[in-house]
Amino acid sequence: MKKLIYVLVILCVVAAGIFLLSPPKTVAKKKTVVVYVSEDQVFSEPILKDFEKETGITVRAVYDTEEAKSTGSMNRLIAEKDNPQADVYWANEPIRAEVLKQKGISTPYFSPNAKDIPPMFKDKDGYWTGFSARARVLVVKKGVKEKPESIEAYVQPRWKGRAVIANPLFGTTTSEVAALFTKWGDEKGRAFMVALKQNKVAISTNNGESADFVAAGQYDFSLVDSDDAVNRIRQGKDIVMVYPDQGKDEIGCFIVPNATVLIKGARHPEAGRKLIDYLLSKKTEQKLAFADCAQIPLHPGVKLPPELNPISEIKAMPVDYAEVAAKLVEIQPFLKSWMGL
Amino acid sequence: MQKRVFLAIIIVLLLLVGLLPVFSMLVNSLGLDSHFSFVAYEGVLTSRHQWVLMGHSMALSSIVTVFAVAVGVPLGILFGKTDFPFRSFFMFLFAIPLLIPPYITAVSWFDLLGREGLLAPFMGPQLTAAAGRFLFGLPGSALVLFSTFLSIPMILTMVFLKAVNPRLEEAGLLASGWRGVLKGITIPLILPGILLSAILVFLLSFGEFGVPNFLRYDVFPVESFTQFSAFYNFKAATAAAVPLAALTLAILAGEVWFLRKKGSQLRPSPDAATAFPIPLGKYRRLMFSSATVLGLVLVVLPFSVLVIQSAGIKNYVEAFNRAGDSIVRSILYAASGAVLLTFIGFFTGYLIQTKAVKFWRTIDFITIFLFALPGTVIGIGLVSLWNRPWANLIYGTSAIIILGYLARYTALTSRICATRLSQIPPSMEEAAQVAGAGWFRRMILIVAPLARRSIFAAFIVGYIFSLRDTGITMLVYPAGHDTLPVRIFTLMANGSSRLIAALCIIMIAITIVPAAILWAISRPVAGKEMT
Amino acid sequence: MKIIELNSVSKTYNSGSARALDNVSLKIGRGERVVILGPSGCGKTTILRLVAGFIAPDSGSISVGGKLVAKNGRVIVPPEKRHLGMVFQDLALWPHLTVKGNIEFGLKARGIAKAERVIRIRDILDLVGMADYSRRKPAELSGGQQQRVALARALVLEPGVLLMDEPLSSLDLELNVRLRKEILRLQEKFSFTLLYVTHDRNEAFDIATRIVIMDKGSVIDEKRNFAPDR
Repeated sequence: MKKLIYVLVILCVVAAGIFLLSPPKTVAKKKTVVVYVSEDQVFSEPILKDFEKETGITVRAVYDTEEAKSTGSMNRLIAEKDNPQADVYWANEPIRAEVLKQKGISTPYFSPNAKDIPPMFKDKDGYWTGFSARARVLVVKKGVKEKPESIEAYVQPRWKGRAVIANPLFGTTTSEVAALFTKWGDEKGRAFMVALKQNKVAISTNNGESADFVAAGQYDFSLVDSDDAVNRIRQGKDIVMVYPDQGKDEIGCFIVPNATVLIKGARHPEAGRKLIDYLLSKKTEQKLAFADCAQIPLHPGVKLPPELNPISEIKAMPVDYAEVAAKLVEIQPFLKSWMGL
Repeated sequence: MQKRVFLAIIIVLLLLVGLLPVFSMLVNSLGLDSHFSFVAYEGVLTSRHQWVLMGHSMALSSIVTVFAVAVGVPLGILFGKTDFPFRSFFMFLFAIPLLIPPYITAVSWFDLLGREGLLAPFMGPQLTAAAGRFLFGLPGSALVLFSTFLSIPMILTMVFLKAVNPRLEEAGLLASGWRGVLKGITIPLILPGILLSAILVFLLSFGEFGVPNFLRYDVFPVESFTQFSAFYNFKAATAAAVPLAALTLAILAGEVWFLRKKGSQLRPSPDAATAFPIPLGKYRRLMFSSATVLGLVLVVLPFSVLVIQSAGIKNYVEAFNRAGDSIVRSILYAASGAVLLTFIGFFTGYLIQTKAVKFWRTIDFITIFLFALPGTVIGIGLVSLWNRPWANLIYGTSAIIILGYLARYTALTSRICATRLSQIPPSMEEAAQVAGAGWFRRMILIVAPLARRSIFAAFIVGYIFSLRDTGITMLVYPAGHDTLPVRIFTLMANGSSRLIAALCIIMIAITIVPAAILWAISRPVAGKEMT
Repeated sequence: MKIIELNSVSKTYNSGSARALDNVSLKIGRGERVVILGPSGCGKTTILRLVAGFIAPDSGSISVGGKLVAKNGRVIVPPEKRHLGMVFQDLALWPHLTVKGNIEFGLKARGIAKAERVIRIRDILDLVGMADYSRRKPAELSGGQQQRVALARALVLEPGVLLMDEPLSSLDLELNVRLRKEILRLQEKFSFTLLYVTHDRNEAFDIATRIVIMDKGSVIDEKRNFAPDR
């Protein structure tokens, strides 16, 4: 009896060992592509599943978690530099793609599907290519008269204590602040941030929360991602979405496209390129536009849900994302001290 | 000879799996690969802000520890030593929050008390706002972590109570009532266990980043975290984790100092199992209702949110569709992790307890230190160390996850086993030695069976902590091979709350069911052992 | 040749504290029954543990059966290779094994075949009068019965030397006296050398052929004892 138990235990251990050490089963024969994804899994996974179905290439993905957005994929990509495991990185904003380029982790690829995407949303050397974008928009409580139409509303006395913004140390908010610094210069940028504080702007943990605050009527407006706004509009919340700074002399609305990156030294470069082509297709952009993430297609002529304006009708803030990436690192100490950290 | 060689292998394994990745990060952070420099450290260690955060972390961890011990120990005594009704049920109830990542508990509380929470319509706007103020900040973070870690002192108290010789208590009973005996005899006897639980709770709350981040209370690990997530600056991130080593050292030194004054008196008598439970008498009803209220508030209330949100077959079907494979993997990884954790923990526990090597204290320190480190540091260390073409058998497979578990959680199984081993008289092994048995035979046939219960306990704890791990897993899992808690996290970003709730319930189930079965199996065996 | 020899053995447990043994020499001949008598803390148990091999002498040397087994801080032959028998103060019966399991353990460890094991277990249990209890667990036995099992466990290996560390201290006087006789009977049968530690003078005089009196880590007196052999 006892011996039987020992034998069983040993068998289990051996079986577990084989199981654990067996390379992921798909590696051996079938075609595979490994992709690290920073776009929310809820939205990205269906696209990747479709890709599997249509091409027969198995997709093995690593997703980022919301709690630690980007500690996952980006850090792994950097740590794995000398022996890359990933073929493709699906970034949810181009700044990270720029960081990878600067760190020598990516390799150029000019996808044939990218030729209609406006040059502003592509790296000129081909290290990353943008697609399906979020716009940085204002959500405004319904019923507010004379809606704010510029991010400068944050520093106008009229809105004192009435506005909220997500923590500028993280996410797209930090990118936008960096973008503003590149447009305005450091002095005006800093002045804006100081004025923001003086105007008693509330700080939330993330854009979704900002949008919830406005939807709940606690604040009048907030700068958030367009998907946060569309999402809540679709849920029937009492908010409206405003593309800021659209006037003739104004700086325009900051656009945050997704980006595809081909990893240098990828093990499945062929499949990787195929996946990138797929992600950059009009079909994918359309799916992402109609999904709950409501992302704005960058290709002309893609069908749109009613809440979205086509990219051609939005005045985009013209920025060089490489410059923004550099600025972002530069202003971190300032932002930290600004946050009181 | 066998003993030396084998223990040396265990030590080397521990160093290789746990310390080496961290060490490589450390070397890297000092810039040794190019030229030696403290640049990364200057920035982190000289900023005043760091010390403010350190203060926050200390405050949070201390509050959580004090409350968890102050409530957990009495609960442990109540469930382990008295005629309290439905003891096992209550024990499981209070253990539930420990089984899932505390971040989810925080989200549940938010779903309950938040602006659009379940209770908001009943509370009115003013109360809701007050609840929000409470939840966000130090009190909320402390509440969530307190409810999560409450069961640690509770369970450890119960375990240690089992080892108290009832003769000692009976002797005391002649002189005073139970109240006096508990205060004067029982509690001092189980002090090492209480102290251990306090250390664990303190370190676990200290390292917890998700909850304070979500509830907006800035704590120390945030620095390491932002260095990773915003700057991808591994050097600074490691530097930011270094003060934790000092903290660990201070805590362990405190423990040694504290316990030195008290020799351990825990030698279970052969008839320990026959000890009488304390009759609660007229207090029975009062105690019962207090525990019920506590259970309702701490566990039932927040988790009913999950139950309500996940209600309906449809949600579970979707959960299985979207995460079925992760569920299976989670169970397998956690079980394998638990086997290895128990194995290594048993031997490190043995060598710490018997002081088999001169530097046994160092081994203990290393395991505790790894336990206290942010998972991200170990995770990145593992990646940079193991991600090499020749090591693909490790890094390219799930083995790397198991290594992560071993690196992080050996302290738990090691301490559990060491505690039990300290209760086994050395003469047991010596008798076998005189009878001519070599070390392996002694370990397998004498020591391990005597420590059987702690081996089961170590396995269960190893299983639970491996299963709920996210910090390391999410950094090292091979593409396409995530675990359930990681999947929950990734789906949390804009995923439907119903789906998340259903996944959380599944998570609780796959933790509780195997653990409960094992516990049930281990009981009669252990009972016989002592009668 | 002496079967046990301690030459100028000293032992200190914690640096700084008093010596547990201070330059002790002791020679025991084959078949002797030596009782070390002394108050607790006099170092008598330390001598047993040194002979058994659980600890090493800081200085001096120890031989068992003519072989050097430990010297100057080093254990040369580990306990499992010294072929001694030992009965512990707490008896150290393994609670998870039956009486039979307890006795069989050492036989298995020494690689004795199953058929022979069965015979030897039966014989030794008969000898100590425990034949009917072989399937019991130690906790299901009385104090005296446990005592007998501990003796049987040590003797089944037919050791040349039996070490006993206050084995009878927890028994009542009547049982204590009865078991003394039993020990003498068994010693005659197996003719092992006995090294016996106690603080009880009567026990010492009943059992010993030679009594070694110790105090504060030193031998202070030694005398032959002509005790009735049974």
